[in-house]
Amino acid sequence: MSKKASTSRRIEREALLPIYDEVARCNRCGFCLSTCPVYIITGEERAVARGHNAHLQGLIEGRLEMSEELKVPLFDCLLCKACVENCMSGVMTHENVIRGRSVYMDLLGEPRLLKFVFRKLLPNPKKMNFYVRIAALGKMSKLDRAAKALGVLKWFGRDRDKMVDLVQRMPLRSLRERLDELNPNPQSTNRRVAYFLGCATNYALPEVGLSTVRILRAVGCTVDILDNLCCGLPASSYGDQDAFKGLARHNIDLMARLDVEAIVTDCGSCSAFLKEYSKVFADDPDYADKAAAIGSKFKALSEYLLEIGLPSPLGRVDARVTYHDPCHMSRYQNLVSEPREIIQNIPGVEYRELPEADWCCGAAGTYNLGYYSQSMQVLDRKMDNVKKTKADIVVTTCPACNIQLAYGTRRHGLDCEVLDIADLLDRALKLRQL
Amino acid sequence: MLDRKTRRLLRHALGEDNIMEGVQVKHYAVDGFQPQVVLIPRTRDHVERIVVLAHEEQLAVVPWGAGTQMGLGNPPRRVDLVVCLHHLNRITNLDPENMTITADAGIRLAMIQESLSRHGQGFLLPLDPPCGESMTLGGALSTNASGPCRLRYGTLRDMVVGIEVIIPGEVEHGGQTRAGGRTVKNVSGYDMGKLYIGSLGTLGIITEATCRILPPPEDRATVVGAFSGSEDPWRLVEALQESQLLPSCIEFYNRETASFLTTNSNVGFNSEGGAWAAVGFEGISEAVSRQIEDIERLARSDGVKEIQLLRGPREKAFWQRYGQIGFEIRKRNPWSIGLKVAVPLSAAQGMSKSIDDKLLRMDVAAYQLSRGGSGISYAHMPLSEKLYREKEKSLADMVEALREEAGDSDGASVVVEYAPPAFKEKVDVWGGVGGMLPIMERLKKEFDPQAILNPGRYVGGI
Amino acid sequence: MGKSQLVRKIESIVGKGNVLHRHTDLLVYEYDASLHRGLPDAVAFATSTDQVSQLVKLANSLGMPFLPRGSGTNLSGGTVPSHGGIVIELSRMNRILEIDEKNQRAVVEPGVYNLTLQNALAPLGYFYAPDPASQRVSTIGGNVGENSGGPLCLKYGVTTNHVLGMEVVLPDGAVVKMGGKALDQPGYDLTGVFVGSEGTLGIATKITVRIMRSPDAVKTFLAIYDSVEDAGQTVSDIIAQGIIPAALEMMDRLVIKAVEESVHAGYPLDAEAVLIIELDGLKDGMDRLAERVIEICKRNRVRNMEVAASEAQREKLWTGRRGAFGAVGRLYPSYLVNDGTVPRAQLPRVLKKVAEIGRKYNLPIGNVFHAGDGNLHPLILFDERDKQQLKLVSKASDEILQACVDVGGTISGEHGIGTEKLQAMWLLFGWKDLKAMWMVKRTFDPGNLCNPHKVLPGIETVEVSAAHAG
Repeated sequence: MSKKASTSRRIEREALLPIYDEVARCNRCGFCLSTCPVYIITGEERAVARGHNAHLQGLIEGRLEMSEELKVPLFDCLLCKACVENCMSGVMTHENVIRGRSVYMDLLGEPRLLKFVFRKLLPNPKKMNFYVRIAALGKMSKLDRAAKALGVLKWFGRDRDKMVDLVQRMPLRSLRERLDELNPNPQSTNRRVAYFLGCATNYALPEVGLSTVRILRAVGCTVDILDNLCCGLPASSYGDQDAFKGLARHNIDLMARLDVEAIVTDCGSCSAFLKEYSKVFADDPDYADKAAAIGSKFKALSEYLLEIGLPSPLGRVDARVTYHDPCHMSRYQNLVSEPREIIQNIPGVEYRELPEADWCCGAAGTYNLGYYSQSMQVLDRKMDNVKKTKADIVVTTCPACNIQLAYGTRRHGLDCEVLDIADLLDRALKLRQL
Repeated sequence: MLDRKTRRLLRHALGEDNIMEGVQVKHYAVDGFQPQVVLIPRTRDHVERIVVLAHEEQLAVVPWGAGTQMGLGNPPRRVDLVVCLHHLNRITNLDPENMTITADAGIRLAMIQESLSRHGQGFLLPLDPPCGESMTLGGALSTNASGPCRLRYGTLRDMVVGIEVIIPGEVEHGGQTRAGGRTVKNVSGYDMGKLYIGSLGTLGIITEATCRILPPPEDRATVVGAFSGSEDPWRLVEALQESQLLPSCIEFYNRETASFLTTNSNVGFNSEGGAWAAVGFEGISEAVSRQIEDIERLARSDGVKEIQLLRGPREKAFWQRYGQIGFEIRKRNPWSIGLKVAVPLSAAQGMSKSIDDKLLRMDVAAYQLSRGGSGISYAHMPLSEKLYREKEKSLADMVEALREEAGDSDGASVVVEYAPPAFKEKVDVWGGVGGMLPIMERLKKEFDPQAILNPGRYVGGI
Repeated sequence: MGKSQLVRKIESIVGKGNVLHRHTDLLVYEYDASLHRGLPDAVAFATSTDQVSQLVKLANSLGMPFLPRGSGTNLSGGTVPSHGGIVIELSRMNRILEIDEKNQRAVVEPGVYNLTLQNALAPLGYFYAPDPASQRVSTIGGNVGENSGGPLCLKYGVTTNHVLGMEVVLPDGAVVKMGGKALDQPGYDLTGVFVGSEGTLGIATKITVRIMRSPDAVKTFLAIYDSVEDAGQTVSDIIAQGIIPAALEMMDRLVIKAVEESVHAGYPLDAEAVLIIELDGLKDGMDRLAERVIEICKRNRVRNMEVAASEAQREKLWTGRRGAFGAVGRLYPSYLVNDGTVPRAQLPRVLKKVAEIGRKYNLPIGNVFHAGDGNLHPLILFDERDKQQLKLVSKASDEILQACVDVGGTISGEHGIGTEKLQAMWLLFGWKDLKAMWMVKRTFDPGNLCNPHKVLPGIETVEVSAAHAG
């Protein structure tokens, strides 16, 4: 073996050794196979928790070398935690997979596009705005379709051209550029909260953010809209720990200075990930205390609203409504009943439980771009369930799910609206004035 | 004729007293083929020696229990030795805590049941084939004989957990082999019992088997109903299927069978019915009572003309008589033919009607009975020689027509269970087994390379 | 034949993208749920009987071994290639082809999960009796291969009692139909011998099973004991009284701990043993039957008895029991599970012996098993990365099997012989007995390519002396 090869083997072994015990705890009972959406669709062992752990164990024990061949095994995973939830041994496979991805990136290098986004764009809002605007303009002018037809987007990767259809429209102005549309904070208030604005909400679904702030102010909160950066989830999921930590540190510094009762976000993924900050930085001498101090303040919107009470009264929304559990809400935060309780408290709503409500929508951040066909199969099963409910509105609490489900309704020709819970409440709020 | 050397070897192996020659052997003919000698082994070793010798000398061997089902199968290609196993008749292990019983193959089923009933709270082997009184365990195993209670308890293939067989293919080393064991769950090695059971002794001679037994039910009863039309009992089956009832048996039968049952059994009916049904229940008393109520109600809504509830000795006598039909008919009319038709449940009523129609057209009477929940029907046709000769062709055509109707998908079959040898020349008694025949032939070649056991009697002329 | 040529040939049968051949991809097919490993040469995903047949013919033409695989949850190495070859993956053949209520049959492809079939039948008021603990992920094809049992088999029987017919691809690639919806097909019971043959006699591509009406009423108890002996005696007494519950399962303290951590069903952490007792049938008289059972438990010093108050509660109890093997991963990373089955009355004795063996080798052993039919599952807990421990575990396992055989039991009640118990077959059978089984194997698979080196230990090399043959 060449010196370079043996060095990289040592690196990968060392980097993975900390998860060896966790990985070895998988005793291969196979129960994960019946819950993993990717396995259910492909039937391939490399796609399921048992397989992931086996690959990682193989790497650690030197029976396998990190190579391109491990790309699909490590990255074809929704990180939905269905396996973890059902694992009798409680193996934290999602963490093992992320660690594996991280080592993959370290050894084989991160794709330039990802590096660019995670290290150049996300930490720099101005630059990010610029590129997003280009994309938005492209979408508006249908240049995106031209690009698709010419196969230009394929340069960015297989199936990237599908991105064109996934997002129906890209707003020209982000939420941050529309803050003037909001009413000011209420006069007298004894609640101060910070609003953590996630990237997807900011750029793709600004109405949701506007709704969230309006609702919080309607129940008497003074809302501080934070100047936060990306929470770091996309970078972390792809294994770029450096980029993620850079973003996180900035956010922690920002939030540590706050004097608020809660740090609320309407993005299910952000709230799940922010709640992990204290664990991630537990051994960091500079950030451990700061992260721990703000740890308990993070709240998902529906979680917080149930704590402090919904706006009252609410107007009638006469509709059949169902709810999709984002993986980050149900499995990462155990917030299952909260959104449902809120929905069922809105007058006029006929609530219908979605079969397999916590079956992943297939978005998994950007999984739908890298593994389009599989993502669609996962989505199709979700949409078949939505059809069964005959709902007018599908509510969810995560922008990625929101976009994916909206795509699903178009794909299946369903006459059904997809709304964030903030949108639904906002609608009820507006209707009470009538 | 057996040569002198062979006879001497036999005498040496078994002892003079255990060999029967001369005129008596005519009682041990199979489809008219008389054996040269009848052997009566006393031990497993005897049986083994017989098999070894027969293998070496290429003598055709017919194992014989109580002889209740020797009519089953094609006529043998030859018969040299008949081996009577009734002296191998001990219960070698009765384990009530484990609920298994191990017994020699030559023991009569009645003997097993009796021993079980006397032990502790009493136990039972849930097996009630026709001629159950005299049939031996080995006979039941080799023909996979079953009776009405198979509906609930399955057949021997579901009850046997261990088996011992003497195989010609192993004779260089003795021939005795075991499979399975004594435990009710066992996947150690192949499930050999499945092959031996129902193999008509063509793979080996079964010498011992271990069966699961059950504790006796708290209560049992049989409800018998007389209906006007032959479709009525079938509607009852449908109703039963949709209900929560768990009968231990559902039997339908026709007028001929009903009159047979009436003689000697105390279960007469006043009304003139077209079809009868007898449904049995066993279990805890409350459950049995409730089911009796329910079935009476179902039967009434089905238009039953008369109902009788049988318990105790009356019930016992009824089923005993029921099990004697085939045997009695064969005894009285040696030219009789018995058919067994097995089809999926949904086709059973149609087949039954088809049999009725054909019999009517031929003007041949038959004692018919159906295992209502299993899709299996029997038709026993008593025939004198004269009648047989008259109807031979139409009977053969009927078998072919029924086979055509039953089709060959889904494992359906029409089997001639007994018939005069002349009929067996005309009709393959078993019917075809499709693509499985080559495997079965290879299996036979492995286990009995010289084809000494019941040669020609099995499916495909195996 | 070169690797790429093999791959191309397989691709021509199942299509590009449906073959795995790179080392990285094969690595996740070298295991099942046992401790055995063996790398295949290729994995082919089949979606039709015809494809399976062609793959088998291809393997034959190359003299290459092959074996079927469903979910790979086999506990004895049955789905691990012993000598490379082609793994024929059946997980994509997962359709329920027919549910025929009138005939009380269902026809399924081999890749259908047992639980999927159950869930399809339940709303119709039917169930499929064999319910192995792995049901949520084990396939009907796998159940057929192993003749799987499950808690309900005490009352209803095992897989072989409920499989009535199959379409099988024979080891030479020929497709043959056996049995069907009708009963009593004449001829040798090939269906019967196929069930439990662990994929060594061919590959089932369609399976016809019996379905039964769901019982009128179900009552589930959790009986809590301060001693394993008392629990064991309760089991014997219940059966001795002529009561056959639908299920009668036992778990000991070690396993309870692991299971409760996983499912939080309310299992008592300080109990030495618990019994799950389930009665089913007509509701008439069930209360009285339940009383009798409670009485027997009390006579055996049961500490407490809880009745599952709702379907949800009952499900939780069973989820815990079913996931027991996986759950012990919370205590130790690996386990070797024995599957010895003994006559019921011998249970207390054998349990004692198992505990002794554990102490002798200083290995923790948890017990979870089908007490009602004497089918033990001692879980020897350890870390398989420690090769020394693995050796000790093997020895302990052998001794446990011997203990089962010594009391008239058998070495496998439901998990199969596979690779793991190959040599242990000699504890039960002599040369002649195994030769008869080899006759069956040779009948179906004269080339010995269909999942070779499983179930039957080799006998050719054994010297046939008179003593050995006896």
